[in-house]
Amino acid sequence: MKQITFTLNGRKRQWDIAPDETLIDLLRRQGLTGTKRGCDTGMCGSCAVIIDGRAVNACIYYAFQVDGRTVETIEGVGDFDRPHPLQTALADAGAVQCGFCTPGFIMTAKALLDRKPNAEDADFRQHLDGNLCRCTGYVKIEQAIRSCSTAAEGGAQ
Amino acid sequence: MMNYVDFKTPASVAEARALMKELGPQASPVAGSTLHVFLRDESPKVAVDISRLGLNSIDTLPDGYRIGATSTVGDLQDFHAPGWVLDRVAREFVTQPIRNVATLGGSIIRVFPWSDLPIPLLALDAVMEIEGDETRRIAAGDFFKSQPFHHLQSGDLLTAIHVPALASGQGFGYHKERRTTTDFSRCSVAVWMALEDDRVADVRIAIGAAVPMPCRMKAMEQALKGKKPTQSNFESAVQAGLDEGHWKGLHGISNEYARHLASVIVVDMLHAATDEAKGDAV
Ligand SMILES: Cc1cc2nc3c(=O)[nH]c(=O)nc-3n(C[C@H](O)[C@H](O)[C@H](O)COP(=O)(O)OP(=O)(O)OC[C@H]3O[C@@H](n4cnc5c(N)ncnc54)[C@H](O)[C@@H]3O)c2cc1C
Ligand code: FES
Ligand code: FES
Repeated sequence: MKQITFTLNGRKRQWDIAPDETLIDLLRRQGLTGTKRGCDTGMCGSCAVIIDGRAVNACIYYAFQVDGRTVETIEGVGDFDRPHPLQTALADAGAVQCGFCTPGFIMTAKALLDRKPNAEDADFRQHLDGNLCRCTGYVKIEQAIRSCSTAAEGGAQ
Repeated sequence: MMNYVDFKTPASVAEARALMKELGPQASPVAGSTLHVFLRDESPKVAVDISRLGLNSIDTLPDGYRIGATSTVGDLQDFHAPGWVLDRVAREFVTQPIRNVATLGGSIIRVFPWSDLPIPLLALDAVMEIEGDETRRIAAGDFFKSQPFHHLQSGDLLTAIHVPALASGQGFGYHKERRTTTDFSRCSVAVWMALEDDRVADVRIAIGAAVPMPCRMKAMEQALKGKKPTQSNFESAVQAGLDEGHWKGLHGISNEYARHLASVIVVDMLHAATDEAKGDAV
């Protein structure tokens, strides 16, 4: 085990890690189980977290790579009492069925909207091309996420 | 994945190189780590994180760009400048969370039949910069002749990739044939072309995925030089040069179909490059 220091959801952390453990293993071992393990091979996006402002698949990222970096997980985005606009929009649209893919969609969309609040359809298409949903058929997810752009009709929620 | 027993986080090229030399064959440079799902190595290794060495800028040179080796594919996608074409390639590279971490250097050191980035680099005649005891430059044609990691000795790092900017009268075409975003390519083609007086003055055609290693199609290029850029000239040059390829279909497609697919896509990309060279690109 060896110690790394990084910022997680706004708080400085010093955690012991194994050299070969992945970031998803570390997060879930520490009780942060909102980051979901779907494929474990970088294909589905359900494990997406934000590292230094960019969406990253935590299943194909080693824990040691976050040393000195800033990490945001779904636990830092909002909660039941204070949901993030993306969470409200997804719930209101009925865009969640089993919900397994939802944290990944939120993190990927948030990374884009943090960087480009007026993201357009083409941006969403491009940035969400790594997120799979096995339940909904995507239409409602797409509508909900798009409604959070300041470019959407009626503006951001 | 790899069997890492330790990791190091150097802050400069000199520090990284010293570490890698000291560790010898135990050293395993890690840029984005996205290739590691495909690597199986049981021997104990020490990961050397090379993502913080200041090798992630794209600098403008008089005739092109010098791309730091740890620039991510997402950086290539976001960069926009005159004559820059790699954003078109980057957009077709897997998915956004992978583009955000996968580096250009990491994409060309271990080459698979389905590797995307060697193909445009071959068509652009890019030059790779390697820092070792002796710093050297290797042109794409030599770099990709065999597995590129053979060019690296213990402690060597790929530090930059030089690509030319498209000048006026020049065009570029790129197509990756895939079914889903995480699907590997079935056939990828990159074409660079220079037109003069409505004739092909120079052209480079590179193919991947339908062949075991990405390569140039020199017989096709030769057959095109001096010709007018027309459908019939493109078709006959491509047909004349097809036997040069060692066609090998991936993911259940036959070798014959791989060859056919390549012939169709090369003609399409010759047109795309022509349109851009003439200033007609959309
Ligand atoms: C789901 C999925 C789908 C994929 N599909 C594709 C695809 O369609 N096309 C494609 O091309 N790739 C694909 N990949 C593979 C992968 O993303 C790329 O090969 C990636 O670009 C590797 O870059 P990296 O920075 O992550 O490299 P790493 O994984 O960090 O390193 C790759 C290798 O290069 C060495 N290395 C890295 N940088 C340097 C350097 N500067 N100097 C010396 N050695 C170095 C490393 O030691 C290692 O051996 C896919 C990956 C996943 C997970
Ligand atoms: S679990 Fe990481 S991408 Fe599927
Ligand atoms: S809601 Fe079930 S996978 Fe998306």
